[in-house]
Formats: sequence, structure tokens, C-alpha cells
Amino acid sequence: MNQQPVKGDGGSGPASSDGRFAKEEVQTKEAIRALYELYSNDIYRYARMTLCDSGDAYDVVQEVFVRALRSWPAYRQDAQVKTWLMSIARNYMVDLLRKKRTERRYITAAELPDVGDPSTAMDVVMEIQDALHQLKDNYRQVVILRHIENLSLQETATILGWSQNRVRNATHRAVKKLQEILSSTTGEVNIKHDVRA
Amino acid sequence: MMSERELLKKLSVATNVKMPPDKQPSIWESIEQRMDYTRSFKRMRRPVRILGFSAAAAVLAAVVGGGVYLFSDHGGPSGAAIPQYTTGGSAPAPAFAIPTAIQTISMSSDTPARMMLPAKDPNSAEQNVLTWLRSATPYAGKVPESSNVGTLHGYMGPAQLNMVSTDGQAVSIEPASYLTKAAGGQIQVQYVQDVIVYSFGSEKMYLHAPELFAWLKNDEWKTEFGMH
Repeated sequence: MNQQPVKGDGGSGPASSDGRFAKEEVQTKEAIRALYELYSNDIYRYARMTLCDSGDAYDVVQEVFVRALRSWPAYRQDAQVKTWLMSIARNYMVDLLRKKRTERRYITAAELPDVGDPSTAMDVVMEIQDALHQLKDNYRQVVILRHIENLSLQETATILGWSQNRVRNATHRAVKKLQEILSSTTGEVNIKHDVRA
Repeated sequence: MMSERELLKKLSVATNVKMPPDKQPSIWESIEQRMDYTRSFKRMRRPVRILGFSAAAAVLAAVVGGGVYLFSDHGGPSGAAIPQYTTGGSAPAPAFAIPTAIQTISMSSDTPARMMLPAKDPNSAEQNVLTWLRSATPYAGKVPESSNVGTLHGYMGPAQLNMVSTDGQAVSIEPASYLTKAAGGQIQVQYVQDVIVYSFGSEKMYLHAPELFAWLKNDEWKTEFGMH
């Protein structure tokens, strides 16, 4: 996942002819296509776990790569390309979440087949999603980025626009809160099992 | 309470979540179509940058004026009548440029979210549309304006065909329609029978094209477009 498409000379100066425009467009498209192959599943997972809706997650994937195509000539490669894409996704989802706040969605069984990888333990994923949605937005973000996307402190800080210290503290608190949530859920399940027995 | 180690193990399961394999190519296809469509509009804006707005507007006015002159019932300098445009074999060629070949073709659905749907068999769809366009004739009648229906929270109107020709010209086609407000505040879409709106750049032309109209309005296109 460390390989990055090489940028062409597209961003270095004004285009002088239609031929050059066409060449730059083809180069950009090829570069973004390569990024899509590498990172579209990561963007999907990030969106899916944040928004809890596969339809919205597909929209995010599409929008992120359209925006990446448009801003590729201005991308300065001073950030890891995955971090750059995740930042685009994060910014887009902030708007989406704001709009959706009034119509909070719940996980439904109908969404199950859309998660994709058949080897994934679906009950665990659903349990995690449900628990994540009981966290406040900031906590949910750090848990997804640090422990599901496995990004470093620095990468997470870049995506969220926070200091590394803030990421560290928020992650610590979020993990504690998540432990509490999941423990209480497990407890409820155990009690039900006891009653049945 | 669940240990941190147990929690992290659980979270790592979610790392395997992926898109279904068939979804990945179809989303990329939609991305490409959105970009091709945007790019072709950018190309059309380029002459405005090169010529300057006034010069580009003058050129556009000349082209449109020429088209209007061609289709209008007007007399020559000596007062002799010049035949009107007819559908007969000797009729002059239409003033709108029918694309000779198509680079991309897609439909924007008539749903509030306006999903963009690719063609299942682009070649066949292109051929049908081009054939109908070649037999289209300019529509001289009046198309009513939409009533003031207030703010709509989603698209309300017919499905739209989007094409980009091989020379980068973006064209959109939809049945000619307008909105009316019925009793009880209900909003209705009214159609002008057999007439389509052919849009390219900032220009719009009304064309009499019964087959294309029926294909668009009666949802016949739905058998040929959709996510793979």
C-alpha cells in the first residue's frame, strides 16, 4: 500500500495546447485510477464505519475520487496520498453528518450483504458499528482512523487537523468509553442467555 | 469490563470490511462519466477565455442568429418568399450540429437525487439516439413556462440523456416539459408532446423528435441504462 502513482509534469506550468491538455488529463486519470485501485476500499470502510450506511459510503467514495481528480494538479505530495484522500473524505463527511444529524440512521439487517468481504465476521462488525455510533463524533473518528484504518498518530492528526497530543488523549478516552459500551452490551446478552437457560 | 486487548482485537475485524467486488468498477465508471462531462464543459468555456467574453458572445450571437434566420419565415431583398424549412428531401440541413460520434453516453434519472446511469451497451444506445436526432426537425411552437412552484427539495422533471461527442462537445437531451401547480398544491410535470430540448453549452433548441421523446418520456431508456 506504500506505492504511489508518480505525478506527471501536469502541474508545473500553464498548458500551451490542446494536445498538452489532453496528455495531462490522461496522466491525471491514470494516476487517480491507480489510487482508486489502492485506496477505494479504505475510503469505503472509513465512510461506512462513520456513516453507518453503505449507500452513503458509496457516495463518499465517488465524491472523494472526483474531488481528487479535480485537485490532483494542485496536490503537493507533502502529505501521504492516503492521508490526503482520507482528509477529502473527512471534509465531505463532516458536511454529510451535519445534514444527517436530524435523521439519524440505524443499522438494519438489509444492509448486511453490502459489507463485501464474506470472510468478515458480520456479527462483530455490526456490534462495532453499533457501539461506534454511541460515541460522540470526535471519539468515533479517532477510533476508526487509529484502530480500524491503523493510521499513525501523525496521519490521524493531519486528517483531523488536530495536534498529536489531542489525538492521543481522545483515542485513550474513546477506547475507554468503547470498552464500557461493549461490556454493557455483552452483559445484556449474557443475562438474556441466562434467562433462556 | 472488556479489556483493551479484547477491544482492539474486535476492532481489527472491521479492518476486513470491503466493498462488494462488483461495486468497485461501477463506481469508477460513474466517476469517469462525471469527469468527462465536466471536462467537456470546461473545453467549451475555453474559447471564452481566449476570445474574451464580448467576442465570444458576438460569435455565439452570430451562430444563433444564423440559425434563427435559417428557420424563420422571411423574405429576400426583393420581397420574393424564401421557402420555409420543411422535412422534405430538399430541406436545408439542420443548424444544430448532430454529433457524428459519441465518446460517452449516460442518463440522469428522473428521481429527486438524479442518479447518473451508464449505458449497458453504449454503441447500440448511441446509434439509436443519433438516428432519431438525424430525423428531428426544429419545433416552432411555444413551450409554456413553468409556474412559480416555490422551492423544491429535490429534482422534479424528466430523465435526461447526457452525451459527450468525440470532439468534446457536451449535449443533453430531455423531453420538453414545464411544471404546473394543481389544486391542493400538487405540482405536476406537463410535457409538450413529441418535443425534446436539445442543449449544448448555454444553447437550447426545441426539436420535434417523436421517437426520442417517447423513448425518454415513457422510460423505455431504463432497459438500456443502469448500474452493471
